[in-house]
Amino acid sequence: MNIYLFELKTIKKNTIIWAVILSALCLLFMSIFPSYASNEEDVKAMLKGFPPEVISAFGLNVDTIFSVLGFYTFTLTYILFCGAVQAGNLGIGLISRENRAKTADFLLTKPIKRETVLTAKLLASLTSLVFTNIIYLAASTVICNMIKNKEFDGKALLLISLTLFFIQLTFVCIGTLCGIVFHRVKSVVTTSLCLSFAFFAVSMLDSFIDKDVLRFITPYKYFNSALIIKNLAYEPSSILTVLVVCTVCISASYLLYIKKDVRAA
Amino acid sequence: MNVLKRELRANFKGLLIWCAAAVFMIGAGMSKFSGLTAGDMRLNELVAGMPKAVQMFIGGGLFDLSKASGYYGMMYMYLLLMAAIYAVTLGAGTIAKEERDRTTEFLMVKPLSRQRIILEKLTAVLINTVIYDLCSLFVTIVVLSALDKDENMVSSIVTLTLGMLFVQLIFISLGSALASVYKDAKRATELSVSFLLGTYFIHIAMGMTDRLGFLRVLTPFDYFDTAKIVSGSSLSWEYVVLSILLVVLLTSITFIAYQKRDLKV
Repeated sequence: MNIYLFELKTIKKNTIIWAVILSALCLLFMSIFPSYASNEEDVKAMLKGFPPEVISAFGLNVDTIFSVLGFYTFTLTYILFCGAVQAGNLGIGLISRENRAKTADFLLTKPIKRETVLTAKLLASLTSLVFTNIIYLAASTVICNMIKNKEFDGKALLLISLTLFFIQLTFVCIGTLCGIVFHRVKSVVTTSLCLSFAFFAVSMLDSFIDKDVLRFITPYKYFNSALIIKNLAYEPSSILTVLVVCTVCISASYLLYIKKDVRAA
Repeated sequence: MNVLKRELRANFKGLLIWCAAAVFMIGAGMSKFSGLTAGDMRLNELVAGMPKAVQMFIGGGLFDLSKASGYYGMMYMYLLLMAAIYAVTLGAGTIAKEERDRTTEFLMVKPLSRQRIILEKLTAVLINTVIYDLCSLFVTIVVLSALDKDENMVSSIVTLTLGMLFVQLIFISLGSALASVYKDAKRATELSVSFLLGTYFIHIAMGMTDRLGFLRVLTPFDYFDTAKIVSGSSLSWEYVVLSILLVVLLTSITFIAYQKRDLKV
């Protein structure tokens, strides 16, 4: 319990800053929506001369791209990238922070099992994520309602925004494992940025890697927003992927951390 | 000279990894290019006439995707982001790592002035960056000329890579200036990463609307207009001058701040 509270105190300031950053990013992007949506009529007029098959083959659905949710989905890519950096920070910093601050021996000589240490730290990260996402959900709902030009489905918005939580969760788990495996992580922020960017870059390579494979490789592609809007539910495979990746990373983290040779200062 | 050699050796592994990543990105990204058929070309022209935000939504609207160079232009922003991440980690890392790894005392008792140390460290970083750029330039030219034999695009690729070098220099000097000013190594890297992401998100927001043009000065990602360079123009001299000014200013800050600073031992 002490470790949990101590960890919470350590990451409190960062959590608040990140919650504000993510909400501000949402505001920045969505404030562009009104001027963007004003193009709708022009684009529709331009597309009149084209047969519908050609247009849909090009991935161009005018109703979708000019809706609040369509635009939001589009901007969410970048918000997810930013959120992944936060989650990566949390995960990678979890254990490696003790090594860098030379406090690992101080912590591990306490009469607590290593499992308990890791559990307490993971729970603190989870709390931080939940807090960030509550703020973000509230902010994105308010922002989207403020700028909307026509009604949209609030439930769909909520479900799409919530994917941020699942993706962050995945990054925390991957990060934790990285922090334990690479015991000489020097700078948490840069490692986490590289981790998030690596997956971000891979998710752009959708022709090099088969689309059906890619959606299991990079967390950014776990969820398909278009399907969420259509079905108002997550695909079971999305949730399953998150669960499997998290479970594997966390179990590996426990196994490795318990046996790990911790360097004393 | 010894500091320079030591730095080069310490950064060598990182350089190899980053070069390999760049080669992979260019190769995998360009594999998507196949040349569009005539039917798609008509749609391509149509997209070119659409508002900026809609083009961005569809992806690659600004470029002629039937040409390999246009394709590269679309990918360039990811390569630039990657190069910038590498630059900022190098710039901030090279100064911050001594205090983080507690090797400052060891370095400072050597009969070398602080100016000299910084000079050699920054030279090492510069060499690394130039090698990275040459590597990516070489691979790009090889891949692009293999894909599209008719088009001569060496000059625009060289110009784009030169633009990349300017952006990297800005981020290197930014990172090193922050690391010299702030005592806390962690804080310095966090701040430089925030600057990087902040300017990147401004760039994204600018891409979505025409009304944010006045923000261009703020984001190095927009200093050089990729679409124009691909179609044959050179770097705009105003922004070359601005980049040089920024680099000179930030590097002077690095030298002055590091000279005066109270080192954490």
